[in-house]
Amino acid sequence: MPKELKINLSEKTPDGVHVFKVAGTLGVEGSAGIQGLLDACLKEKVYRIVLDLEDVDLISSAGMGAFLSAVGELRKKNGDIIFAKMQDRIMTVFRNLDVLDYFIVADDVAKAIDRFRGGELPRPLTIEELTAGSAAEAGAREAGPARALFSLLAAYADILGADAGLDRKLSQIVDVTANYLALSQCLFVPLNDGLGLEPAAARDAVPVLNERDRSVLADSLPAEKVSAVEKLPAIKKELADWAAKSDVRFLLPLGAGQKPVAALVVGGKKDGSPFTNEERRLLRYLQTSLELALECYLLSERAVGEPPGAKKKIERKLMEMETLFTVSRGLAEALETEKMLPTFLMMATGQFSTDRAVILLYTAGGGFEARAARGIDDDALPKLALPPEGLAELIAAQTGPALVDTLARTLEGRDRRQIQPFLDEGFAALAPMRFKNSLIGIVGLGAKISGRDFEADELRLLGALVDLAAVSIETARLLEKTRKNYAGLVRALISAIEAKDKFTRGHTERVTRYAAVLADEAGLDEDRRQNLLFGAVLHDVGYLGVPEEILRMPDGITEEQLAELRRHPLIGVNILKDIPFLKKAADAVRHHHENYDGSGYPDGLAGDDIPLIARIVAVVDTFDAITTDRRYRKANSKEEAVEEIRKNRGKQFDPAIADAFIRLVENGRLDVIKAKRPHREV
Amino acid sequence: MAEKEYQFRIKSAISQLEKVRKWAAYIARALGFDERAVFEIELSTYEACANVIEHAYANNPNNYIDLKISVELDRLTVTIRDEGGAFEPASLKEKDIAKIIKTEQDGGLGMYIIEACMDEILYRRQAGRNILELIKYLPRAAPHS
Repeated sequence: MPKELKINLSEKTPDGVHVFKVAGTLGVEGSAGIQGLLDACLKEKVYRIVLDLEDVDLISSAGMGAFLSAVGELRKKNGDIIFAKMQDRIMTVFRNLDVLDYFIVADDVAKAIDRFRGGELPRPLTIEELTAGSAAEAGAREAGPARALFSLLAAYADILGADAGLDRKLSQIVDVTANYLALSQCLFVPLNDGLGLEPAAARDAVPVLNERDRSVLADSLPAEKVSAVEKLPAIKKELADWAAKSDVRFLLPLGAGQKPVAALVVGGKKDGSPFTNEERRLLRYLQTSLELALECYLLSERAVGEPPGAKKKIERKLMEMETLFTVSRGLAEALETEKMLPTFLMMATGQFSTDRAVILLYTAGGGFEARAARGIDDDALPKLALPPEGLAELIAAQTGPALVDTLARTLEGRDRRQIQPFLDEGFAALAPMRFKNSLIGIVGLGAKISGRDFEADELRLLGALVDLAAVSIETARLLEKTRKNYAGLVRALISAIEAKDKFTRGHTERVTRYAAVLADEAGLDEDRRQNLLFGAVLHDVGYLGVPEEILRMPDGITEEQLAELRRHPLIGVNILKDIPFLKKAADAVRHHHENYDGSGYPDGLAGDDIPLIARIVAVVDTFDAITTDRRYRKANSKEEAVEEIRKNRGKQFDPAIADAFIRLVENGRLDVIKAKRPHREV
Repeated sequence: MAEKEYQFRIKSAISQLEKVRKWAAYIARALGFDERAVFEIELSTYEACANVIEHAYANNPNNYIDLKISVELDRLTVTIRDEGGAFEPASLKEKDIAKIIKTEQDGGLGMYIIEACMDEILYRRQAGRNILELIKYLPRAAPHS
């Protein structure tokens, strides 16, 4: 039988906040109930509502619909609904529907009530802001510049991919950009009368350029990418005057092929602040996107009046081009290089009808190594690595993607050998991936399945695609760097623990490595894997708060001291509580001494109630404790440790995890990690 | 060819929805999807069946919905078949959450949820039946382009 929906008023504050505890399913079954509650609240003039959703196991569109319609009414009355204690799965619904910016969500009821008194939760967006499409931007801005940048890139992709005329797309793009960067002005200037486009402007744009100025502009634009006005080498005087007078900072030539057919004129920031590196990077990305849009447009213009055969070809090309916007959207969503590279390769191989592709990225060692591939055996990947000199230099010197055959003819002697593996593996084109003039990677594309050669315009298209990827990868790296800073913090914590107790030295490191192997074996998703590794690294961080004399006790400690020792999970959680990044990892810190049968501490959780990452840490922690020297005894053998874990499967340990771990030990997979292994994750 | 197939038939009644989602979640979990994906599959299956009951069968509980979960190399597919009225194709197109909120049409919301949760959605009308296929790629397998 479906669970009945239960709603109870659990608290009513003197200032009129009503807290309702909701339990059951908010699907078609329960939506009438919640609708009834919200209607009744409106009728009774109860406008400040907190819904405690801890015991709600599902919200469907019907339930969400009820919230969406009520919250608008409540906000008109200065009220709101605040959701508290949502389970992860319920959070998934909010996240997937993209309504987290629209609603207010709090961890617990107290915080939710606090929100009505001007507490610290973020302000929700109004429906107008959401409708204006700025939700992602505004929300993301708080989460850091890199993330905001991504959402802007996604916005470009959406605009460009939409079914609308070029005029409209351009004015939207100009508008979004000017808004985001808070530009004093932004102006799209067609330089070629054949374009048949009107200039599109946002903000207090300079008077639209007359025809003469436009031809001066066309002559002055250099072939290179984003140009700061002051760096233009031989800028014509009229143009320089115009630029100075009108606060023009950047001129972006838009080539759509070779010769600029338009330009984007970018003014200074409204508040006069300088452009950051991220903002310059954004302009570069914007330029590539606009060029693609223009190229599509020109192609479609050309299709008119062509004979049917040629027209069909152009139309097919056009369709291919439009999928490029899907590519940039995909990249913008991937956010991490590890996810981005496969996305890129998948799209590139599909785009150019080939079955293989590879991305080599610059490594700390100075050369280029394959970081992602499609359609190539893993064994073959190391052969594709390139030293910085020879082929890589030649690729760096190319203006865009080049055919492997052509490159092979240019190379001589020893360098000739570097290209052989690419020939052997059936590669047809190699493209330089540049960022700010330095070669950050190389993209290789296999021969077409049809056997046809790459045409010049396809190579150009590949170049544009690789440009997009370069910007995305660099932006993702920026994000990852932030994460690394956290890793630095984590390391500092570890050294602090190890300084206190020499027996834990190396313990955290080994436990983390065991956890990593187990995570791979269990196929944990990336998020959880990351949280597990942080959790493993930090599981004993609470020892920092335990008096040293207890840690140093040679043997036989008293009940009282044992109780003190057992506080370390809670102390650990307390140490980490203000680091949002480690919120999930803290689960492993808190619960790594819980037992599967419920007999552990601190919360006496049992079975699946113990977070998965904590169940994993429990096993690897014990294994390491048995197999290494402790202060009161010498190390036992691996076999003894396995026996101990086996004996306790289902009691102390999750049986599935214990089994998987024992399998790893018995297959010798854990011996490997005693050898030094780079540990990139943390 | 599907490697594995699980079938389930329910009456077109709201009271059956709980069973349906538990069934879908059970299979998805057994296949090794992480909890988030399990829930996404569970919720999508629920939404799709609720849609059929409410719209295709106009809340008449005396019809059947045939469900199938099949697993191939790289994907899980939930297939929902019914003999009710044809699907309104427009509801497949609505993708703008802001618009849905503004116009308060919760019909579009269900489809939006499914789209947000699954990797691919295929709909066809065949021999008087609606056939909706919801696809989710298995962990670690990239979708084919």
